[in-house]
Amino acid sequence: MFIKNAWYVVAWSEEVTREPLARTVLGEEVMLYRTQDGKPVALADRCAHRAYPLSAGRVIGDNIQCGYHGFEYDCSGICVKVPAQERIPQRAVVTSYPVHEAHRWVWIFMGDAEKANSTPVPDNHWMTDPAWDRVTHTRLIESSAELIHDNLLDLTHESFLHESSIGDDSVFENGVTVEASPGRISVDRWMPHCHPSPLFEKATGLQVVDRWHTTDFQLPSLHTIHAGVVEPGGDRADGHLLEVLNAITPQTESTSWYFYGFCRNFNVGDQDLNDLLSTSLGQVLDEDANALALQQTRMEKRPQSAPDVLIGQDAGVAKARRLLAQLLKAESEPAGADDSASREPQRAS
Amino acid sequence: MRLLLRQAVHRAVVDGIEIAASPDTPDREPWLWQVRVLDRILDGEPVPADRSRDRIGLPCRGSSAVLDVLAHGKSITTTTELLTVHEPMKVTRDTEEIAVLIVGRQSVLVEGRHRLHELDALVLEGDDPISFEIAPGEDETHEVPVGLVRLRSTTTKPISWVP
Ligand code: FES
Ligand SMILES: [Fe+2]
Repeated sequence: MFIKNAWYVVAWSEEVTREPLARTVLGEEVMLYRTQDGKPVALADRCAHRAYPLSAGRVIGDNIQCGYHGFEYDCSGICVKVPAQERIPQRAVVTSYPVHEAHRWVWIFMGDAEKANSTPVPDNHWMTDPAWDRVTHTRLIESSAELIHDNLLDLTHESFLHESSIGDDSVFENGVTVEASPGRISVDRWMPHCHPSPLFEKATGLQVVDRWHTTDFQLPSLHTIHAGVVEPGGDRADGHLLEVLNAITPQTESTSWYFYGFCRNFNVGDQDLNDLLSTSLGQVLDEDANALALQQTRMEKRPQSAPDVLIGQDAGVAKARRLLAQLLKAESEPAGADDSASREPQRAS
Repeated sequence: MRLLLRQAVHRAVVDGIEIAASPDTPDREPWLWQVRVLDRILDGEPVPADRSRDRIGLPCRGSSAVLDVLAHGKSITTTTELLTVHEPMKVTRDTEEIAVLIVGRQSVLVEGRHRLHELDALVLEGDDPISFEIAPGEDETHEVPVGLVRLRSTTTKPISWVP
């Protein structure tokens, strides 16, 4: 079960080209391509004729041609050509999904298309802001999205899982302020007068800092970690600032896309630093990916009678789970029930 | 740990809202306590023999709203008071104690940075912070009513809260 009435990152802008791209999101097979004027298109990746994947076909003009018997669909998913006959069957339609492209991410809306316009797309402008530099990564994680949400809302794991890079004891030694509001959970940790973590020492040259990180979870798909270090007693705004974007998109119930952008406002254009961060943060993500996959397999075998043992630091985790469950419940109630038929474009009669 | 709960995320219960409870998810750990704001006193609601109840009026929503605290009497003691905040004041708690603040009408500023409006709540647990300042919100010209619930273990074991 997935929360569908929300925007999820489906791909990096550069992945969506004039060649079809196949991607599974929220358990559904989707294909993406660009029109001649560069607009991204997302269609269900299953030809209405006999279910061949459209992603195995060809982009012709603004249309996608199925690679099996040549049915051709326009970007709203309506079949406009059947090579073997003049008449186009009424039901030759595939679902088209609203997409939104901003700052190198292509977002998709898999739910009730009528709700797409009124649903805000989270901000990720740091990905293209010239005052910021960034390194990016993508992972297909072998765990549910929920486990990744837990991971990002409880950063005490940095002290142990990422001990050699971004973690140290300062993380778990300092408490958190958790704020729960509709559609949003934030977990803020202020770490005064501490070491900036091994990686940050390399990146900034600083040895003692005031440090902070705030995971800002915009349910259900994006965690933005506002973080930074500043010389002790300094003003946060003058610090070395980070905006770490973590877009989590379920692929299936037990696998998830992880689109990552680590944006910084210092040493912009420093290629050596980009290389260092790219390598180190790639390792950090691998550590997370390994841990999450191990957790997933054990969770699947864990008896129902042994739920998680949460602690005070898990307040954000606990509240996020509750809000996610509420969103899911709201969608499954009759008025808000997903009705994929309403999403399918109607052929003009 | 500070847990700031905005009014719109409280769980709806019969005739009111639940601000916090232990456990927060039913059936997880033995039941210990529950803090609610009720629109009115539920006359028919009996208090089970093993539970204690604390109740005070909290000026908010309907004028007869009630801050209602239920606790497992053998394990938890509770005190419930109504603060009237008209100038900055200091509130102190023990590390062994969980404190739950609920704002009635209007707004307050806690620790100079957390702005709490009507029915927003702040739960404090663990060793930080043990004392904090609470002041009327910038535009408040009247006294701001704030409910303060303290929950303590009846034993020497400190109370902990699984949110
Ligand atoms: S399956 Fe696509 S045209 Fe036949
Ligand atoms: Fe991590």
